[in-house]
Amino acid sequence: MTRSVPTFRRRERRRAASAVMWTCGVGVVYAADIIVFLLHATGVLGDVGHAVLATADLLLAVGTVYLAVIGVIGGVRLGISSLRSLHGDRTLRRDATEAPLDQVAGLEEAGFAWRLIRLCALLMPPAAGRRWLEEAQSFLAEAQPSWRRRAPGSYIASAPQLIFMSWTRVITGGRSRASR
Amino acid sequence: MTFRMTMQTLLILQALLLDPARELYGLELSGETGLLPGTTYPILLRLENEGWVTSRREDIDPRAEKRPARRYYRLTAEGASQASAAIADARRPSRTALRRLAEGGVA
Repeated sequence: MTRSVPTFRRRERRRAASAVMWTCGVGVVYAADIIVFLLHATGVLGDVGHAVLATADLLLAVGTVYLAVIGVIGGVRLGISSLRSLHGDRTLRRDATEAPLDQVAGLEEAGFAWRLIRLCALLMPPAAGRRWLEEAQSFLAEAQPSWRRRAPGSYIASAPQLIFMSWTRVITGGRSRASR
Repeated sequence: MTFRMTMQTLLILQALLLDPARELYGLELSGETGLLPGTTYPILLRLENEGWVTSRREDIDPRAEKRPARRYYRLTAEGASQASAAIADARRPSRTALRRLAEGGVA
């Protein structure tokens, strides 16, 4: 499944526009809101009166609605790409020697579930997330259709436990209980 | 043993114990145990953390093989002896079960 260049560019442009909207909208609205409340709380504004507080409340409401709208139309995707860049794209990057991640038969079938699995992997420490993804990728690529249908759900169901386990291991310095 | 020995853990240990020298990958383990990969993976990870199991990533060229590299799991020497003991222990009827049997009911 190959994407044509114009489609890809359009998607990139849309993503960039979404990023600008996100930054300007959420940034300005919430920053203004927080500043108003802080100034009021520290007494700098003194008795600001109902007008300012009402404005602040309005800003908060607008910000919340804006967040919801952005979240629905593309915020999740933007969040994923931001997280990916935070991780240095290490979790999801393919080695040059690896087959393209999304072109493996089982993964195309898994569709949205595969995206969820990738999102869960981002919540794990990079090494653990990468390993989990590799395991899932390998399984889905080779499994029989009946297994393929059920496997993504089980991976997603086990994600919270794995996130907890992997971070615990990182925090405790990778000590196993047996070695203590 | 420092972790909970569940039925699923026992199934995985049993599958690995069939031939302790043999390496099994995720799909094979699921096939042998009937467990979904979301269940087997955390258990294998825990067993690996405890030193019962060791794993390695297959060194292949995925493009040439037309499939992603697998991760193979194998019992360590310590893991094999611990696993045998754990399975033997699980097969031993519990005191509660014996008492219930002696009392004449299993419900």
